Amino acid sequence: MKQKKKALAAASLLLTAALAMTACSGSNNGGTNAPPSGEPAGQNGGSTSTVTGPLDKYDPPIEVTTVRAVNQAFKYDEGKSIDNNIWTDIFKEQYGIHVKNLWVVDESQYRQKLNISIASGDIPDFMVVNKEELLRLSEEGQLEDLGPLLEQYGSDYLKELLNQDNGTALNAATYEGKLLGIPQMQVNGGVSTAEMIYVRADWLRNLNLPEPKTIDDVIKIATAFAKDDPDQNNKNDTYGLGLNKDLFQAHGTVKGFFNGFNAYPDMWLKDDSGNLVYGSIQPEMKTALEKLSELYKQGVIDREFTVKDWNKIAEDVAANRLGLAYGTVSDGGHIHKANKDNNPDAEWKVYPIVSPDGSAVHPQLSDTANNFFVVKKGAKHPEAMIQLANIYLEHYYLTSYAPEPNPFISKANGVFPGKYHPVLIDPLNVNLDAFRQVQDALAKQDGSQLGFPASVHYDRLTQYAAGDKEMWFSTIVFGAEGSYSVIDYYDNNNLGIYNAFQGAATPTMSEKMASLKKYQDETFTKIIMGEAPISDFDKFVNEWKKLGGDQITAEVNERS
Amino acid sequence: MIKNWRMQIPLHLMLIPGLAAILIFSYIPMAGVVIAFQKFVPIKGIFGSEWIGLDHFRYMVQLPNFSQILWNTVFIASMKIVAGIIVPVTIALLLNEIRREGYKRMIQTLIYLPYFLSWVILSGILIDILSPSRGIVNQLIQLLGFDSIFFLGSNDWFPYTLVISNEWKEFGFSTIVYLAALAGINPALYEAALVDGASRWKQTVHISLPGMMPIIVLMATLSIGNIMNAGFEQVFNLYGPAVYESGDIIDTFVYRIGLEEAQYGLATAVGLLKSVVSLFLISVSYFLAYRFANYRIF
Amino acid sequence: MSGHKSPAYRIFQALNYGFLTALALLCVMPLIHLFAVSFSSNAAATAGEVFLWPVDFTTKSYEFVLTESAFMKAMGVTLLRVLLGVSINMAITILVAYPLSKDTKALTGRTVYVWIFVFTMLFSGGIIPMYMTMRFLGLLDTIWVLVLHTAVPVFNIVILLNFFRNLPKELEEAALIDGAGHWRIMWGIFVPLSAASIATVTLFSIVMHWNAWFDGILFMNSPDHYPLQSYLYTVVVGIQAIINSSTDMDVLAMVSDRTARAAQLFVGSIPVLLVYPFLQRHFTKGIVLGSVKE
Repeated sequence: MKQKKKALAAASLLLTAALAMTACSGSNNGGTNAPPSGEPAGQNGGSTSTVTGPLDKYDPPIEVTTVRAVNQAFKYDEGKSIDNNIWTDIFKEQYGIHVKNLWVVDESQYRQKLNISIASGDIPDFMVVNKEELLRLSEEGQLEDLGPLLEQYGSDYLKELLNQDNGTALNAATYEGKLLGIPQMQVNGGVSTAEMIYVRADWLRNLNLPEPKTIDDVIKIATAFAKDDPDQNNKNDTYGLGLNKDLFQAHGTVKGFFNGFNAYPDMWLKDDSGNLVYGSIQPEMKTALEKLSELYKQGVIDREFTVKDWNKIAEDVAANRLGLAYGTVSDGGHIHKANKDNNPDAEWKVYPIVSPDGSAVHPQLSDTANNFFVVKKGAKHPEAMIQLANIYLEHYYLTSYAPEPNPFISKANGVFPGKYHPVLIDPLNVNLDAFRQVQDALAKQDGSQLGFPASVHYDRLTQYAAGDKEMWFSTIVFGAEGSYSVIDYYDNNNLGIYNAFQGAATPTMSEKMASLKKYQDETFTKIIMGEAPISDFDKFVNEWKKLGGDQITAEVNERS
Repeated sequence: MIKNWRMQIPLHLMLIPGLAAILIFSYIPMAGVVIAFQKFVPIKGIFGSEWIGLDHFRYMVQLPNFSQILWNTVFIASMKIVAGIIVPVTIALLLNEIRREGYKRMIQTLIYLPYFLSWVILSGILIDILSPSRGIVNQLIQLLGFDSIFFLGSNDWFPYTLVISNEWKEFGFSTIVYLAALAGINPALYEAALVDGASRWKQTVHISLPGMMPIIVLMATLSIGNIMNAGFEQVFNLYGPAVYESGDIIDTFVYRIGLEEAQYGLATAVGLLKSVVSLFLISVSYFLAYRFANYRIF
Repeated sequence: MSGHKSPAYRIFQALNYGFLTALALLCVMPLIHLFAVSFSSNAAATAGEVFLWPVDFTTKSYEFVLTESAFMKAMGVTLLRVLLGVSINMAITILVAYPLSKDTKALTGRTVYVWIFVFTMLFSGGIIPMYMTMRFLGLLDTIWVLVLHTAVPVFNIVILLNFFRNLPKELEEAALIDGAGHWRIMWGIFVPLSAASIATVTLFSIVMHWNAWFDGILFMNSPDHYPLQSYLYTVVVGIQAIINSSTDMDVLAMVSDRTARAAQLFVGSIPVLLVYPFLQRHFTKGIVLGSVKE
């Protein structure tokens, strides 16, 4: 009998403890641990708190909720956190805004957490969503119309910035005439997403090869690199043209190669009659694929490219096995840097992508905004999000703190307060502009007038010129012949082209695009590897159309 | 007639905490499986999303590669299940023959280690080791006079590479269960057999194996429930377009669909399908074992 | 046991030792490699030059890991989770396995009970309903969400109930005759005699709680509250995501390097790796049956 009672007691104790704990922690539901600095803001300030224009102060203070994605690069000074930092102080003291984070999650799981949160009914006042999510929310009438709000409350700089791509991104966020999201323009967006060619300059010299001005040059260089021992170590351990298994992204991509043939994979283009067609099935793709399969057959492309993602390609670069690959503007700062650390004698140069006849190529550009800031319908202070955007631009870009350094820029210890701001909308071309300013300043030998971030790069470049080898990575990106010089060239000549379809995924796209992409990638890989003849491309095009491609094309044209 | 119901009460009471826990944390959330039949949109929630019945299942079956994906999944999973029994049982028996306790324990610990590494890390290592040009495995193969094999890049080899590398990672885990089973066999049985002049081999076949059989059957049955789980994390980190044909499994495909849009309805439908298949197979195993061996697996 | 001196057996022994040693080495090599990477310079590691021995020996990555307060915080969360989670798991496992190991005559509806448990191993509503349930209970962002959604390890229960069943019936019968109730029988007889299997499922429970990462990211509202593996996940995989999506130079310069990742992984696995040898003592204890007549 005693045992039975004991068992019962133990079991009920366990359950009670569990329930008691939940009761205690119930009050913590949804909040993060760090208390806000200073007085907690009043309960939403009441509807009497209003502002009339950009950068006004709310009195009494208001509270708005949002959610955040953070990542490993978010580092804080002692005692600071995402809820308590230089921005939160500014918001509170200067503008009467308290931003409360309902939750904070690692970037990699943001989409999951956001969707689940929405499904459970936890919707913050404002948040970042992608095109599809924006569409769904707008269909349910859950978003505020931001058009008039932007007009009244957006600062001039914000408005200017949002139009830097001629309104493409704003367009993408407009449904039935209503602007439902503010695009999150990204640093290094737009023209800075164009690809370029990275080459080992010392290898070119060793083998007396020309700089790549045409596709034939690229092929010549690739073949020589693969066969003629460019690093002169008497070992047959180098590859020709770098190619990663994903084909069209990151380092080791061949998107730029295809662009040289006027082929545009994974993108929608306008044909001669003004209709939208899909780049991956156009005949120009066939020409480019054929060239690649020849290169593979001749052993100029690594036989194992199909198992190598860009990390493995980076390893080959670092280990002096790869000296020619297409890549993006920021690769030099980490991928080629590793090689330079290992081999201080290595020299790298960057070139614009090339075409068969040497004429200018139109590089394919990524969308200027993939994410949008939206405001929940019925939020008490819908304009607050726009105000926050204003504040970011005002304090980060428009204010000069000289002679003190800008308090928001990244510091030596890795703390980068600029990133803590909840509404990050950066000028697309901030780095490109910085590059230009830096070149001017270097010509004049005077960098004192430079703002952020140009001043950072100017300093690094000057240090390198003075002998600090650690700063080499800055030259490969921001130096006179660095990757930005290529972007500069593209921009000056207005060469980049964007995806002609900027809308959210159409119904058939959601259903079938993944299968089509799989089929596409498989086919292309097989053709390159020689496991399928080039004529399979035509088969692919037919199948693609039948398996949903035609349907998608129709829907896409309907939407535009 | 119920034997001594008073005796039974403590037993029923003991079950209460477990039942309460699964009621709250398994059965209540299970109601959400209804998402599999909805065109689920997060903002609409479960109660607001449109009911579409079996549409997700129809969509799956009509996918151009569905039979290929299904085949890959079942083929790879089955091989993993079989290997997952044979290898650990064999290793457990071999380990049992080691007389030196200290050495035995060391081996036991070491073989358990790979279980802790994630496929994210292991894939990088594996790609290097299996590289046709620079990998150590192929260097050995070439020494033996054969051509190098593109383990991760060829459809002929990819599934087997998956199974073997997975087994290498996981076998230490199951070996533990079988060692525990061996430890539970009455030593007197072995002594009696020795007296009868049985060789070690005979002892293994007539005592060890039968002694382990209940556990083996149990583990086999439980793993059959995994027939549709070919191992997302492993495949995802090791595959590429070149081996989609043999390596794309249900989970990796559903993952790629999820990139376009948050396809919770479809993902839940896939999960439901997997569960139903698992339930069916486990029930059949349970029934067969009971009917023919009078053995209740659980 | 003796009498195995036949030549055939001796050869077998030699081969056996050799084979198992080779196998063990094969298993331990990747860890040795990672260990070497964690002590190497980043440039060497990125170039893939590190094999089984550090290149350009440095302890920088360990300094980085061990002083990174986020790491320590996450370790603390995991330790708490393991403590609570394993206790709850084991309590429930034993409490449920014991009754279910009886036959239907001793426990009415036994088969129904068993299937109620096994069913949950196969069917699930997915993460959305689980999240909603936890939210409703107010458990989000607490240690309890992690510990309670995993409270009933059916797999372990099924294993343990099988081991319980294999214990000789005579033990229980004798105790019943002596007038002992089930509670006494369970704690006094079954549990002590099942050291091997209890150690096994305890190990499984420890490892499950130690390794779980997805629930941490999903159910916790701030990276400060992540358990260790969730944190490590953000380090290893999250960094890839950063590099893939961010073209911000300064961000790229700041993400921790390969060697630090290796160091973090290593430090994250050691505690649980050390548990195993401790539990091993119990795996080899057989059943003491001196008191029972055959």
